[in-house]
Amino acid sequence: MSAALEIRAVTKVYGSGATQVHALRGVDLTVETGELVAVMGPSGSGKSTLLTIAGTLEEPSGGEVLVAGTNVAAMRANDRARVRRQSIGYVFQDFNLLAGLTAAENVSLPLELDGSPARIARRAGLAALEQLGMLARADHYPDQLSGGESQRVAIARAIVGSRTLLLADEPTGALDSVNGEGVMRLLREACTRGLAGVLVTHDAQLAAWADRVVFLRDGSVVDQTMRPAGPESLLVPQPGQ
Amino acid sequence: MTTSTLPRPVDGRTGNGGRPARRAIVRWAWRLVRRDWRQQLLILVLLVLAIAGAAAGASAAYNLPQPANAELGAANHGVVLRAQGEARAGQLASNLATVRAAFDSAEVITQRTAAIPGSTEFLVLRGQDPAAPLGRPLLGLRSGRYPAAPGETAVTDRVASVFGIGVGGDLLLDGATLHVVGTVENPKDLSDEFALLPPSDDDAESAQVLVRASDEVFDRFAQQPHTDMGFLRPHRGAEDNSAIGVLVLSTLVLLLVALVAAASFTVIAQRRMRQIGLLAAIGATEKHLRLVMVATGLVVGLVSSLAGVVLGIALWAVGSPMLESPAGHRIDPMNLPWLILGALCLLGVVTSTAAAWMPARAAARVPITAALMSRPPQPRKTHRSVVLAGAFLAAGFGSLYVGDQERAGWMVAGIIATGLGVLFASPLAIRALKHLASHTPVASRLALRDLARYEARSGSALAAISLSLGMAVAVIVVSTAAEHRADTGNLSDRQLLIRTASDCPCLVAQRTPAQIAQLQSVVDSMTRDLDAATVVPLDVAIDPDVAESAQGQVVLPVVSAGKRMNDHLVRDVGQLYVGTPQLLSYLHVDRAAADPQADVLTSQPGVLEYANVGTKTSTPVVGSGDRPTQQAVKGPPPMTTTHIDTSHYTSTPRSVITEAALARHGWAPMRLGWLVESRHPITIEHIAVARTAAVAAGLIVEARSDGRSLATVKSVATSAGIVLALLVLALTVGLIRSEGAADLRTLSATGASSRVRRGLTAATAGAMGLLGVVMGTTIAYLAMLAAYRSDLSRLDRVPLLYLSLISVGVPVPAYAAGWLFATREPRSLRSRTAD
Repeated sequence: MSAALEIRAVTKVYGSGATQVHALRGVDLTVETGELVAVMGPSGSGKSTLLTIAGTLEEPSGGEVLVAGTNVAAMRANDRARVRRQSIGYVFQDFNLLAGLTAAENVSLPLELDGSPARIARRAGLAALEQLGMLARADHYPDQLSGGESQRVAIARAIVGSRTLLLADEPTGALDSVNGEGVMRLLREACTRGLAGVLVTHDAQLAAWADRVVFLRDGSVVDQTMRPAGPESLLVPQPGQ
Repeated sequence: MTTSTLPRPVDGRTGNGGRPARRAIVRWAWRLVRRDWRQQLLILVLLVLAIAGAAAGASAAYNLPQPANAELGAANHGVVLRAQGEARAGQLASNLATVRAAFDSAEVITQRTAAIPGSTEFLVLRGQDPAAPLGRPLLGLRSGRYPAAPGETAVTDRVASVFGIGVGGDLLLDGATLHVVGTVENPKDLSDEFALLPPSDDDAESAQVLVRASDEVFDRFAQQPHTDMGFLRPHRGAEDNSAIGVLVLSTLVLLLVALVAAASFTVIAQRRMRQIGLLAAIGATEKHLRLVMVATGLVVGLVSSLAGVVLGIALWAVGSPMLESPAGHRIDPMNLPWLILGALCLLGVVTSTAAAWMPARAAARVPITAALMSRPPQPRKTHRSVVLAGAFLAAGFGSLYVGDQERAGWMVAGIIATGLGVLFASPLAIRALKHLASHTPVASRLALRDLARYEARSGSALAAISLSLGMAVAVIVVSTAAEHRADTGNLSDRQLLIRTASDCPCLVAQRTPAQIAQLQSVVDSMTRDLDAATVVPLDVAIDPDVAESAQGQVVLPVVSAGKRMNDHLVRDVGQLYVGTPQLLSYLHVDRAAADPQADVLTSQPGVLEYANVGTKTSTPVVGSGDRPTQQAVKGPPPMTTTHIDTSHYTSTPRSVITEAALARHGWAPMRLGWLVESRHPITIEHIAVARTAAVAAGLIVEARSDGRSLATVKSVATSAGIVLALLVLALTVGLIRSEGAADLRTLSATGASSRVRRGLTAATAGAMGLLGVVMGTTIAYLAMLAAYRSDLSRLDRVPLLYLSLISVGVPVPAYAAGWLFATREPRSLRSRTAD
C-alpha cells in the first residue's frame, strides 16, 4: 500500500500577537490507499483544521502536506484547485450541494471544471449516482432530495473521477441513524475499493467504521488505535474467521 | 449498492478546465439568476429605467431637431431661383429652363406672395405637384383633397384659421377667389404656412427645384455662372450629433448606475458566498469563482439592456406625437437611431458586467473556509486620501472654470473629474460623520459608527446618492439660470415697442413726414390709456444711397451694428438708433459729459462693425437666429465708440449713433418705431387693444415675452434625483445593516427593544440621505459657480422650492422607510444554508 496522504509536522496558527491561536502543533498523519482513518477529539482540538489543510482548503503555517506524493503546501492556488478537482473528494456535514444544479450536474461538476465535455462528464456522473442507488433522482434538484439522498449525491460527487483521497467532515451530522449508517457503509466501501479516507467525527460509533482512529487534543495527536472490531466486522466475514 | 472511484473520462485538460468549465459555470450562474431573480429585481429595474430613459432620450434627440435636409424632400440637391424687377417672369422662366435642361429628375415648386386683406402680412401661394416623388415628403394632406384645377386651393390650418375658412370655403386674394378643397401641411416644417395651388410657373416670384443627381453632376452645374440662383446641398449627421450627445450623457448616468449596481452585486455575492466556497472546495479556480458573478452581471446586463431599449422605444412611440408641435415637424416614431440604441445596449451590458467585477473579485478572494461558513469578509479601510479627493474636485472645478459654459471639452472633463472627486470624497465625509456619533443616542451612535466601519461600501453608496442629487441640483440651477429674469428678456413688463411693419427689422420703409405724423397720432391714441406712459420715438440711420424695392414700396436697409465672431461671421448686436435728445434723455445719457468725439454710444463690449453703409460686399451679418439678414456690408467706417450703461432688454436701444456722426457720414434718420414705457405693468388687455389698433395702421407691437418656463424640467430633475437616491438607499442600507447583523443579534440578546433596532436602520438611512443631500447640493453649487464664473448674476435666483423638496424628500422618507421596514430581517440573516 502507498500513502495517499502524508501530513508531516503540520502546524497552523491563527491570528498574531496576543490573539494568536495554535490550531495544530506539529501533527503527523499518513493515510494509505484503501485505508479509512477517523479523527476524533473534543471541540477546538483541531480536527476540522486538519481536514481543511489535508483538503488544500487552507494552507498550513508550517510542515508539509503530500497528496499522492506531491507536496501541495508549496503549490500555487490554481494548482491546488487542480489537485482538489482531480484527487480529493470532500463530503460535508450539511451536504453543500449547489442549489441551481440537478443531482447529476452536481456530481459531474468537478469533471466539467476539469475540462471534460458536459456529455462525457454527465455520463460519468450518472455512473457514480447509479453506484450509490441514486440514478432515479439524477434530474432532481437538491431541494427535492431528502437529507440521506443529498448526502449520497455529495458522496457521488466526492468519488467521481480518479479521486485518491476522500475527506469527510461529520458526514452523518445532519442525518438520522439509519441514513447515517448507510452513508458510513458507502464511505467504507469506497475506501475498500481503493480510496484513502479521512473521517472527522465526534461519534465513537461512527469511528468504529474506520481502520484506525487518531485522537487530537489541543492541536496535537495524543493517541491512535488500530482498527477496532466495529459494526462492519459483524456483517462482513473477516479472513480466517 | 457499492462505491468505487470511476476512471477519469478525459485526459489532457487545461489548467483552468477550458471551455467546458466556463460553460458549466455560466450555466450555473444563469440558473441562479433565474432562481433568485427577485434578489436582482431592484438592480434590474434601475438598469432598465436608466437604459429606457437613455433610449427614449436618444430617440428624441435624434428626431426633435428640424431634419437637416427638410427643404430637400426626397431630393439630394436643390436650386433656389429668385426673380426681381420688371423682367422677373422672363428671368425665372429662363432659369427654370436651364435647370430642367441640366437635370433629368428636376421637380419645380413655385412660390408667390399675396397680401392678406386688412393685414400687413402676406400669404405664400405655392404651386406644387403633390404626386411628384421628390417633393412628396414636403406635403401632407390633412383633410379633403389636393387642388387639381385652376381656382382650387388647399390651405394649412393656420391659414384656414386666419381667414376663418374651411374645406368648401372660398379664399379671396388679390381680387381672385380660390375654392378651398382641402387642408395641407408641410410635415417637415409645421410652421410653414401656405396655400397650395396646382403646379404652375405663371406669376411665380421664386422657385425651388428639387434634384436627384450625383454630387459631381450638381457641383459641375453649380460652378457654372448663373444669375439669381442659390444651391442647396445635403447636410449630414446633424441628428446623429444630438443623439451622440445623449449617448455621452447616458454614459455618465450609467456610470452612476454602475456604482449602485456594484453595491447590489456585492449583496448577491455575499448571499452566494457559501456556494462560491463550495465551488472552490471542489476545485474551482479563482477565475471560475469570478466568472460566477461576472456571468450574473452579464445576464442581468443583457436582460435589462434589451428590456430597457424596448421600453425606451415604447415610451418614445407613445410620447412622440405629443412632441410634434414643439418640434415643429411630424415625427415618424420608428425613425430610430439604431446604431446609438445598439451602443446603449452594449453600454448597459458593459456597465452591469463591470459593476459585477469588483464584487466577483472580492468574493473569489475570500478564504474557502470562511466562505463555506458564509462569514462576511472583514471590513476594510479605503485608501482614498484627502489629497486625491481634493485634487479631483479642484481639477473638476478648474476645468469648469476654464470651460466657462462654452468649451465643451473642458466642461465634459470638469463634470467627469467632479464626479470622481465626489467618489473619493465620500468615504472622508463618512469618517467625518463618525465624529458626531459620540453625542447621539445609542441607535444613532451605532448606525454612524457602522457606516464608518464599512466605509468602503457606505462610501460608494454615498457617492451614488450625492451624484444623483448633485446632477438633479445642477439641472435645476441651470434651468433657473436659463429662465428669463425680471430684468432680462426682450422688454420689461412696462414696455411696448411699436414698429413700422416690415418683412425684416433690418429694413425700414421710406415715409413722408406726413405719413410719420399720422402714425404718431395712432401711437398716441394707443398709449393714451396707459398710465402716464413715456413715448420715445426711435429713429434709425439709413444710407440714402442704398435703397431697395419690395412689394412695390421703397425700403431702406437700416445701418446696423455687429460684432465680428470670425473671418466670415459678424453677429448682429441690435439696431443702431439715432441718438436724438429725447432718446438720450430716456437712456439717461448726458451728452455734454460724454466723449464729444464719440460717434457711437453703446453698452456692447468690444469692437463694432457696421452693415448697410454703402458699397455691397460679401461679408454676411448674422441675425439672432443665425440666418443671414444682410449682404450689404463694408469694413468698419471710421467711427469712435464710447461706453454707456443701458438696460439688458434686448429690444430696447443699446447702441446709438450721434446726430453729428449721422451728418458726418451723410446718413439720414428714418422713423422705425416708438418705445412706450408705462409706470405700471402693461396688462394683456392693453396689449391686445394696442395690437388691434396697430394692425389697422400697419404697425407691429412687441411686448414682453415671458420666455421658456422650465418648471417641468426642474420638476422632473427633482423627482428623478429623489427617486434615484432613495433607490440607492434601499439597495445599500439593507446591505450595510446585514453586515452588522451579528451586532444586531447581540443587541437583541442584551435586551434592546425593537425601537432601538428600528432606530438603527432609520438612522443609517436618514444619515446617508442627509449627507448625500449636503454633499450633492454643495458640490453642484460649487461646480455651477465655476461654470458660470463670467456671469455669476445668473445664479442670483436660488431655486429654494426645489432645493427644499430635495432636502426634505430624501432624508425624511429614508428615515421613515428605515423605521418601518427595520423589523424585516434580511434574507441573508434568516438563511445561512447553501441552498
